[in-house]
Amino acid sequence: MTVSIASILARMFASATPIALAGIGGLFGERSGIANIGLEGTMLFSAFAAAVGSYYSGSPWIGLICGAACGVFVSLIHAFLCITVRVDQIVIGLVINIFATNTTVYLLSALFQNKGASPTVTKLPYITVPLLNGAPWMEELFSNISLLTVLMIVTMLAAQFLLYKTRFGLHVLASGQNAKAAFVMGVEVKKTQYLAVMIGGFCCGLAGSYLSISYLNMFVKGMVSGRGFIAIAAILIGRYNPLGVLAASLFFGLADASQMALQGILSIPNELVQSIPYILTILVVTISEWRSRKRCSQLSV
Amino acid sequence: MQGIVMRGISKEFDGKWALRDIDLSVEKGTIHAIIGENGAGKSTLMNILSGALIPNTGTIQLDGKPITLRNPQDASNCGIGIVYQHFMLIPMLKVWQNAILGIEPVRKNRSIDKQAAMRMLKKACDDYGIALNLEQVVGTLTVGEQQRVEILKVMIRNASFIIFDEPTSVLTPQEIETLLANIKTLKQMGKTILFISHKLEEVLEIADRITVLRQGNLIGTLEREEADTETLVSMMVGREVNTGGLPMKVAPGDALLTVTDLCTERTRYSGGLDHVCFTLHEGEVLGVAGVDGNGQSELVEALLGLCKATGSVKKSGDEMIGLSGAGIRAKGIAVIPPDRQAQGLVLGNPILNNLIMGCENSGRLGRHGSLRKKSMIRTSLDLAREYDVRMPALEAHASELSGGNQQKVILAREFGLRESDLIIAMNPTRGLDIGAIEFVYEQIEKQKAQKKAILLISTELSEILRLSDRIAVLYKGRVIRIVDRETASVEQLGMLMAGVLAREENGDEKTE
Amino acid sequence: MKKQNKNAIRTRDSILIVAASFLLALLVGGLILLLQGENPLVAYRYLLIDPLVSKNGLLKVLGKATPLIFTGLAATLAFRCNVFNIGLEGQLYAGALTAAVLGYTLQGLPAWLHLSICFAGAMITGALCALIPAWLKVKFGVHEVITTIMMNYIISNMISMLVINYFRNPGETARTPYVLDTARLTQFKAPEQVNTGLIIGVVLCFAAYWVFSRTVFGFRVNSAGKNLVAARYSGINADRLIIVTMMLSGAIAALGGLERSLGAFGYMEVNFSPGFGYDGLAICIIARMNPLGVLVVALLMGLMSYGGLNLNIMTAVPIEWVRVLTGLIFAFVVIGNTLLERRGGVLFRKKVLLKEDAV
Repeated sequence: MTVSIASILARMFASATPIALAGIGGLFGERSGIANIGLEGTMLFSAFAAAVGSYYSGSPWIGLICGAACGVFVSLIHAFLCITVRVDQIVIGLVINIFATNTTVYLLSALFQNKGASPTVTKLPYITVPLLNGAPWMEELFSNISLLTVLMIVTMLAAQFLLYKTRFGLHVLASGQNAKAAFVMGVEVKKTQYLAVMIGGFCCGLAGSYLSISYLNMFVKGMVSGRGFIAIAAILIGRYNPLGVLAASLFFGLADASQMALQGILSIPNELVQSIPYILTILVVTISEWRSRKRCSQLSV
Repeated sequence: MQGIVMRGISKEFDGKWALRDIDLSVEKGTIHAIIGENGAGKSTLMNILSGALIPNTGTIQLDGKPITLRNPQDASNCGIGIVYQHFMLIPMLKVWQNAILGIEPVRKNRSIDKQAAMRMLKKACDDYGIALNLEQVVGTLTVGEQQRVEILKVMIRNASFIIFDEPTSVLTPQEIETLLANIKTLKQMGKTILFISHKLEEVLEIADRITVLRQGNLIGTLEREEADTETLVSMMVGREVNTGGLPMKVAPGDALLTVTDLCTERTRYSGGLDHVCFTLHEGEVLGVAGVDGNGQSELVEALLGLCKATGSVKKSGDEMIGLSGAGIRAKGIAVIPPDRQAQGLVLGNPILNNLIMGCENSGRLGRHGSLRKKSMIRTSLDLAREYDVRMPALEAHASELSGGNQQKVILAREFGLRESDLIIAMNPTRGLDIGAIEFVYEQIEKQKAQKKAILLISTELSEILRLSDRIAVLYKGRVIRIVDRETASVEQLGMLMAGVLAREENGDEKTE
Repeated sequence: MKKQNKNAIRTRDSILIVAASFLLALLVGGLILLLQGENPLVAYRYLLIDPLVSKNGLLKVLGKATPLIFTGLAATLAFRCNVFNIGLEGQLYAGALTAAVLGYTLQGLPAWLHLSICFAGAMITGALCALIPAWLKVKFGVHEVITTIMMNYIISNMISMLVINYFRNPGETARTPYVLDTARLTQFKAPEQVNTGLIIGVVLCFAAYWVFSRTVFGFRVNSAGKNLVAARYSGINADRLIIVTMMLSGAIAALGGLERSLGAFGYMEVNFSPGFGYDGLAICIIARMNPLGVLVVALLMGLMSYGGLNLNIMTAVPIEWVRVLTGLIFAFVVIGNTLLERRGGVLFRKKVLLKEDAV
């Protein structure tokens, strides 16, 4: 396993992709006033859907569509229960996560007679950015980029525009900060919230699909491994805006890439090294909250 | 010429009628006032007119044509605009974003056309003389400026009927003058004004016609010439009431609470306290006057140890800065918090729990950590009876009580149960009707007679004048002056509340 | 003054909702079974009836329910103070490992002392694991959902590392050696797993019920959990309350792990928990934070857990289907409770329009 800077950077982007996608999408819901603790479960469902789609059709594109659609579907249920039925938002997140864990394992068992993993499926294609004066390290960085990693950047730009420059984005911001005022001013708060949550679901769908048909080429039980929660942390640390979430995700991606590179090199047990991203999450979230308390500024626009 | 005619309007909430069969005729180009006590139904009626609520029965006509208002947009389209009592603003967005929310001009590529919006807003500001920085974040504006944003919102939607819902409760006396003058100007420009208030002086100053509501019923409508204070009050309340009054005389005792250089942190949205100094004696009511948002909440929290503070707060010689909230309360302080529902009660808990909360481990009720149920019930029943709390059952949740009864629960607990020699009360009569207000004043003066030291923080100047022996004025986190009740006047207090110090003091210094 | 006790009505209504959710879940689960080609009615007999009537079936059910009693109670303790302790899983493991290690390393002690040390050790470890998120919440305002879940992953990794590297049973990789006899909790009828740990769990539930209804501490937790601001204004030290309840919660969850190590198995196996911690949260919410309700719901889930095993042996239905079923019950109960609360807490209420007197 090469430990060059380029390879770490490449892995950083790869590891950051699911977190950033889930986070950027998830922040729309949060900004509109609907907390989403169920990102983890949504990603898991989507990963499964993508793998199943790719398996039965042979085409990863079908898999991607399945994954994205699954994300939207789950988020629609989340939105319905939170906005219309008005169940407590955190409890619904828990329900979705628990449901996802159990249902995916059940379906694995029922469809593939295997409790651990699905059979291998076709992956999404990789992109190689051609460079004129490619030095070897640049070649490593710019080749074999997953399609979805590129999509991550596109999504961030699109989200930045959508949130801050459009009427919909203004309505999202208004609904999240003072729903009563927004309603009185003519904003369709519920509709805005539904759309915002579903955007989050779509992006989670992409994030989950990435895991099973790009990062790996199969669905593995519990494969999200807490990334959904790290995405929530990224939203917090990124101060709820797309650029910040991308930066935070890259940071976590770097932590993940470093820990993979460090395994076996230092004489620290692998498991401890694997814990680094999680420990880092706690630390960074704490520092972020502490600093925001000092400045006493809440969400920065 | 008829402007708005409302007939037979009724509105019911949860089995109770908030409005019963109201008829209202508002003539175009006049200022029509709607008055009544808290709970009379004024805001409900205006919410119906502004489209935020749908009435159970009744019709509304505009210029002779019937209209249906299903949501605030319909009202806005008909030219009805409302300046809310509790501002409908998004604190972290800018003024221009707040103003155009819901009517944003968009470009072809779906993005907001900021230039068009700014053009529209600047024109409205110039036309109506509204001075505002359109790029400023709303949360950092003063209360008066925020109200101007609300007015701007109404103006750029081309309102011809403008409703003002209790607009003066957050303004200094001088700002109130300015607002009333602006309203008269709007009338001259041809607008029709509906003015909701429970402050009769203002109403008598500008209204052409006055409608009185009481407990959801229409009592009557008078022309300005027919109206005077006594008539209006008796219509509002249904009986003769002495609204004036001076504080009860009690010989003050020793100094109980000495506050020196009390400071709290400045934050982005609040200025914090700035070297607050005062002394409070036994048997005395020290009133703290000031416009809402000048440090009142910070003062309460600092004294109770609920936020970080520096300086010195000595009660009976003991330093309280640095003690925990629990430690401070244990020194014998009773508190009537400003927000009874969020700070004074646990609405989801039974009334029983609320009556004893904070005293649960005192001798009678809790011994060695375990509660004595029988004693709790007996004590609660006694308290409820003594303080006239009307409730369905002790086990019923506090959320089922009316506002007045909720406040009585807090009074019963803090005055009747808690052992204390110092009382801190903030806005103790907010949202209560006259009967409940009188009850609260009575209880406060009873405590005063027992030689307790009372710190009364209130944004209602009349309340301060009614109860206080000395009056401190809080402005931008500083106590800028303490005056004796006997020498105090509304004009002088109003100036102080706006930050204008006396000439002799600092050579005609005007702080804004 | 009418003696109208709304709280009694609420309990009856919550039980109705749980029952309705259960039936609804059985319906949906049955449909899934039909899709798999199984007969739902037969399946439900294997799931629900057989365990209760067969030999030792009841004991097995109790055995399955025991860890759920602990985690359900632990979740309730934290939830009562409005803290989401999602880190139960990690605290469970921490307690299990501590108990197992203390159980096999300390030699030559009398049973009462050995057990006491194991109990103390497990509870301390569990409490410490819960203390970190609690302290971060109180000091910095970090939401406990993120910190507790991160702790789960960290602890899970640490446990693996510790067992594999230090506390391994010779010859195997994934479990600790057997604990000494002086540290075992007596099993009622070996080889069934039910042991005296069950009694401890039940007693704790009753104790918790008493604490919440009859003590000053419980009174304060109830107030703070429903309105933290008002509790602070009344002089309650909310920060300390949050930390204490979280630590208690962690300690109880750890005891759940101890019961597995010292009672059910006699050793700790890495990844022994199929999600007891998360199940505990579900149980707490279904039981509406009532410790006695937790007891009942945990028994029900234990029944379904063992019934699932039975079902899997007798048919081709995978065990995970039972977990889907429990997920459905959880979801329906949550929705049902929300709808109940929106109707003002009363399922059946006549709408009465009061006639106001004319002035």
